[in-house]
Amino acid sequence: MLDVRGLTKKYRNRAVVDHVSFSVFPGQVTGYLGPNGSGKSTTVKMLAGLLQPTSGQILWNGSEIRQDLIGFKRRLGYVPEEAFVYPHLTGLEYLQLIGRLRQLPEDRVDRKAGELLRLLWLHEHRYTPISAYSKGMKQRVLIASALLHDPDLLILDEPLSGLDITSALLLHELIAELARIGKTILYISHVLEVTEKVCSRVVMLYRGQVVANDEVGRLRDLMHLPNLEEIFRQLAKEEDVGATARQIAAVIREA
Amino acid sequence: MGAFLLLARHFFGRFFDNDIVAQDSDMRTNAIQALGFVAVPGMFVAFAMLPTGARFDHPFANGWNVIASYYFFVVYSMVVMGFVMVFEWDALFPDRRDYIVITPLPLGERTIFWGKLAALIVFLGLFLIDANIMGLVLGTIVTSGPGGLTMAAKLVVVQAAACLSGGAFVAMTFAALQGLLINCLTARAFRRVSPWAQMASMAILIVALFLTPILAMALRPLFEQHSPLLRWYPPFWFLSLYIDNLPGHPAGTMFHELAGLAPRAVAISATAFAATYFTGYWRHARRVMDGMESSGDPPGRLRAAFDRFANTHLLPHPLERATFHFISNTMLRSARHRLFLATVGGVAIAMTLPTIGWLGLKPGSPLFVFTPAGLLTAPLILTFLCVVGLRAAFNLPAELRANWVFQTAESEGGMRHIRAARKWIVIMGLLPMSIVVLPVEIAFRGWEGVVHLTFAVALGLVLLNALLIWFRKIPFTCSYFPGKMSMGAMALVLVVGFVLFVLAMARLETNWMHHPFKLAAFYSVCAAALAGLRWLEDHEFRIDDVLIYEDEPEPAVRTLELG
Repeated sequence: MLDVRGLTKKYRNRAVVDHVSFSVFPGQVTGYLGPNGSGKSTTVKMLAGLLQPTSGQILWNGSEIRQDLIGFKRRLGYVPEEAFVYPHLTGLEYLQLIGRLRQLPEDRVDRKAGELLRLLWLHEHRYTPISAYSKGMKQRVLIASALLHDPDLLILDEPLSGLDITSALLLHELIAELARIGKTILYISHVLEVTEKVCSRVVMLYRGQVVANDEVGRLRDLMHLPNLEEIFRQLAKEEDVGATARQIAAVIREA
Repeated sequence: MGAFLLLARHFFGRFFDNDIVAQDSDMRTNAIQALGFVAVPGMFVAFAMLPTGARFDHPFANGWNVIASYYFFVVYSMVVMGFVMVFEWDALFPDRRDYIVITPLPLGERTIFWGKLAALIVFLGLFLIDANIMGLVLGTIVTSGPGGLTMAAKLVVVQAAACLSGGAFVAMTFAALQGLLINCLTARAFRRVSPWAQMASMAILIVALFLTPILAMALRPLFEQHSPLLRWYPPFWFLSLYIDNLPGHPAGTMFHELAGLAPRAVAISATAFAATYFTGYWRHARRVMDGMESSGDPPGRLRAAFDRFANTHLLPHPLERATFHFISNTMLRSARHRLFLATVGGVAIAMTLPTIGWLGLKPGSPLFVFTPAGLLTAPLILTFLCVVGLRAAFNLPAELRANWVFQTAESEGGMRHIRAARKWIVIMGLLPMSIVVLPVEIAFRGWEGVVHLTFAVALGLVLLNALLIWFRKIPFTCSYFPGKMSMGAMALVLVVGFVLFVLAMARLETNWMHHPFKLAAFYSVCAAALAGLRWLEDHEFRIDDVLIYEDEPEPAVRTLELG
């Protein structure tokens, strides 16, 4: 289980993540929601060991991850928000690099990389440099690289970014399947409809603070609202998006 | 502003938006830095001519001093244009990003073509003028003698004709070379050959640049003895054009004869450029668009066999395999790193050539006369540059934003990455170098050649291990601040290191070569040094094994840290 307690990250004394606490349970998909700039990706970078928190704790199975960061990283699969990959490597070479860095045996790296590329419709392009890949193809390479070493904890930051409908549907099914076999999954997104379908629990973040943390169904019942979008509107008191939309339309029509 | 002008401006800007020269930096800054850097040397040479009392009407006085300076102006113009073309090798035609952005816009293909061509011509013209402006203004004033500004103006025309046509000749030749490759090769073959052509061009230019002082000093014997080299090396044609057209025509028949080659060379390169660029442009456009959809090729049989062998026998640990193959793929495919390697290779060739031979001066003699005695220092020079150059290449980052993958997959045994880097330099640097040099050594020095080569390689291994003791980076994954160590300090370290490694060790080897006990002692000391360095590296890693991904910049304000 992943336990986040009072996690805070400050830049120049301004807290972008402010005493955030939540838990992610094995066998469940926990959604981590919030608008752009709410602190989602900063939290995720701290969870992935890329950023040092200003304060707070991150516990993996009861132990602070910084006590054994390498052991924690060994169990972690991470899909970052932006598909920054080495463009001069081919899809296959990229997975081989990850497999070797994860210290998997060579034959297993080749076998699993080949299989994952085939199942993610990248087999035909396995020898093509990633620089020639579309955004969706890059995203699929990242998903494959996060799964290659059979991680216990999966952190998926906007994993649908750039994916076509078929790939997105496949990913939804895959996430459900991984949860069924007991993986701990944190799913970060700002697309509320998708999160509602994929996740059993949600943590809502607004301006760096948790504004809701519960099961999706219980949240709907508690707040007597039909969906996450309405719940979020209520909790986050977002600006009047309808009015903004009308203003944009007016600007477009200007002569 | 019309679409043509907008496109020309866009393509012009893209020439400065170049990953090879500078990553993630402002285009305007890149442009100003590049233009300033190129303009300055001409000024220095012009000022250096001042105390010599150089005069155009007495070109053969003071040991041909003026001609040597004129030679510099000509070569500099040609080499700068060569470098510009090599750095812009992938930008001579619109690239994939251009087509993705511009194709959906309502613009005709011809407008795009003329926009790109106009931008290329303006860009090349800008650098051509920039490389020559100081020499044209100051060089001519300095050498005009009592003729004053009127004579200086005449000299400007003569110098401009020689230097600008020399630069244009090189630029058009490189463009024609790429056009020829595009027209003659299949898309797959072009993809494979093009980077090697770019690297070879870079190496040739570096050699030309480094040999300039030597050739400038040899001008008099070369011309007086009618050396065959004069007909084969283009800078001499354009120098002759310069000297032949000086007011009063002080030059002899040799200059006049060679001067005739220059306009012919320009005409041929212009024709080749026109013929290959126009046809190549459309062929290239089709390929870029097709290439977006096509799949790549599997690695060749040789590469696959080598990888299998290396994985099985040379790289026992997965982390070593990860880093070793990452280095290979980056060195081979990143244009920035390829050009860096070509530069190091060019420097190595340029520094080795003068030690192993002389220019063929007399008519009928070969262009280059090999002298086996020079083999004494050649392997030491090659070893030093191979180790230092490759070690320096590891500092150049490649797609820094992607290094998160190394950070999130971090595990114990960071030292394995460093060992892989060391193995890479040995297997891909020192070993191929030895394979090339060994037959030459054996042919000219017999068994002594083998000892000689192992002497250099043993020293190279000690140097390599010493350079990697405190190296805490996975190659290409750490940010780098080139200005962190002052250029002067770095140059001093390199020069002292080079002198110690090459000259001192060559002398040591000469003294010890025929004393088996001394040689045995030398190899024992090297073995002990390697063992000691290995121990030190292990010890240092036990103290600090953290790999770094972000180099610390120099602080804006340096404190004295007193108390």
